[in-house]
Amino acid sequence: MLVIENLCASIGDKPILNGVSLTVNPGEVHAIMGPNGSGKSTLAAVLAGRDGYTVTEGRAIFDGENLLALAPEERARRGVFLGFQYPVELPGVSNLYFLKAALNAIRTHRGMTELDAMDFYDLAKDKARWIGLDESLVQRPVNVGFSGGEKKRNEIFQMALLEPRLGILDEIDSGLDIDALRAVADGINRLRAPTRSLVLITHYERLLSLVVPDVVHVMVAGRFARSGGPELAELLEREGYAELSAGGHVGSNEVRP
Amino acid sequence: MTAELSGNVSGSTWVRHLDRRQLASSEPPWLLERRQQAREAFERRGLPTTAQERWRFSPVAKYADLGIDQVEVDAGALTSDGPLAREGSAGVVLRLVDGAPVPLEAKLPSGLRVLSLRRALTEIPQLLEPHLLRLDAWRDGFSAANAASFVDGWFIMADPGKVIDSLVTIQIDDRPFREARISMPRVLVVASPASRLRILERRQGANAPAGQICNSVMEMAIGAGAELEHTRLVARRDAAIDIGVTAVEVAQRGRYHSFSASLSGRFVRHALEVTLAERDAQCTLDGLYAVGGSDLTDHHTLVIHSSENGTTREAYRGLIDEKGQAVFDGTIVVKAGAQRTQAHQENRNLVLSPQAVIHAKPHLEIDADDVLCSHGATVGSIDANQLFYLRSRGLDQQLARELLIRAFADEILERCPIAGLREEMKLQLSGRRSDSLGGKS
Repeated sequence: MLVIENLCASIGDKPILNGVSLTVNPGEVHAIMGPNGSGKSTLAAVLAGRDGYTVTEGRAIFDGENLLALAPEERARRGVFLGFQYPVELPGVSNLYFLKAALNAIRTHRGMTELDAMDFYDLAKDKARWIGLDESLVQRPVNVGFSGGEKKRNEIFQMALLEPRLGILDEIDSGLDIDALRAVADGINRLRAPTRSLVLITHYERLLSLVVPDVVHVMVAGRFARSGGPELAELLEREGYAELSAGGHVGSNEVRP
Repeated sequence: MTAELSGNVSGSTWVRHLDRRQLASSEPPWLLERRQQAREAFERRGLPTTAQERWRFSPVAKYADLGIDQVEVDAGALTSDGPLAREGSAGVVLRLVDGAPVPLEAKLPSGLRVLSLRRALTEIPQLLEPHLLRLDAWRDGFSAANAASFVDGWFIMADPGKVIDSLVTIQIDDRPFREARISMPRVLVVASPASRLRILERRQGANAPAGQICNSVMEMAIGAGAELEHTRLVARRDAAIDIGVTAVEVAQRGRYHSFSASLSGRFVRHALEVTLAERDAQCTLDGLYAVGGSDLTDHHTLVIHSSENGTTREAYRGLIDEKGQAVFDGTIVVKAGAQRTQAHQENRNLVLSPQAVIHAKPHLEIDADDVLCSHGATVGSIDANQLFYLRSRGLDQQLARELLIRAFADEILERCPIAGLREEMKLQLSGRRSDSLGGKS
């Protein structure tokens, strides 16, 4: 589904990604861990098409298409979803209106008919209930006055509604207390499907004990220093990243699970 | 650059017209005296130039020939063509055509008086004397010229204790003329003590030729415990110059609510001046301006707290696109002795094109010590994070941009007290934007 080969990217003159390679097959959940500043969020941003990054080498192919050549909205319509580390507040823009426009843009791309306001409202209510998001938040301006947990749950709600084929969740667990984390993890587990792949970017092992990944990658200095099964996350939790950063694993351009 | 327009030549033409007005009038002595003072104020100030601080960024002489002749308008000569005033679901609708009140044939709600200024000056001058040509301080030559030379207008009054639910609409129109000229619409609104009155002022001229000046003055007196809601919309479809002063005085426990929107017009200026003259008076001033093309829109607001325990809440927003220019100049003055004043002013501007210009100047002058005041102005373009968030969900860039602009305007439009007008303004804004987007793509 997603094949990344030797991806290098910089902000201005500063290289951030230094040769990331990754293959995500349908239905797989990959976790990317790593210390602050290692390039995890940059990878998510480059895949979603955020401005301000220059890809200097490598490529990212999504369903046979060059992902990096597409505008952010074109990626979204093909089924790429980015869950934001810091969900953006949109004063004056109602969640409902915004998501109806988004879903209909995606449906049109898929050759489906657009949903009218009533049908969409019913669908949104169902999904909110399914994901455990307070229904009143669905009507409110996007993320305005939401708590940290509500913002993250709203991201999961949006993913449930837009039904992407690839969900990239950037530190969806940051700033959550244990109850909110559990709720978000439940939502993610509900969204696991044989045709849907997920990439979870996280600092901590605790999310991965609730959403058990198929593959764990450790990113250090803009590339994967190590990849393995879920047990790698537990190892990191015990020993920290220092070992890896200092160790001899860094340098191989391509580490495959 | 404006030297040749700065005064003497064009100014003297105006003064000649002022003379003619006075000769023609048979008005109460107090009014003649005030007109003479206005005339002197006009001669002192002259027509505005960019050398005057209040007009620094609004070079009106670039948009209109200020040396123009004024067309004589005989108020009585206007004939009624069609329903001129009506009271229905839309309330009472009054028209001012070239500054002249079109005769009114409507059954008015009890407690509401509506007369032409001329008739009111003959029949009930004692009700006008405390206010007419008293509320406006003639800070600009234009409003002094109006005071010195207006022929007629409307007098609108809610009697003491009366709550007038019907909306009173004042529609300011122009007749098509070939030569450029100036009109002097004038309205005096009196909300007597403990009354309530709702006014909608619409200026949607479509007939005036380029360079014509609509120079209006509204005086509004709000009595003790009275409430006046004043909604003002400028959405001109012609190229006339639209200049207006609204001068408001609020007595003890009185409340004034203004919503002032300028959505289109070649050159639009609204100077809104509110004096909270007695204790416990309140005002809320909300405004929205949208400027595009090479148009200019100027909002000057001045609130004077001259007594204790008054409150002001002010919020203006602007959308500036293409080569549009906007001015927001908001001043709140708290006089010595106006203790426990609470005044908050906010001005936010969204600049949508690299050629668009905004001059934003919030300003507080505080001479009392026990006050709670704040002000702030922001100027920015569309937030890149917000834009990316929307696009990352599948919205194309144009729609995402449109949604953010609309949301910015909607937050102020929600404060417009007339629901139907809110929708009308939303439509006009989105229509205008799709025009300009269409032009670019």
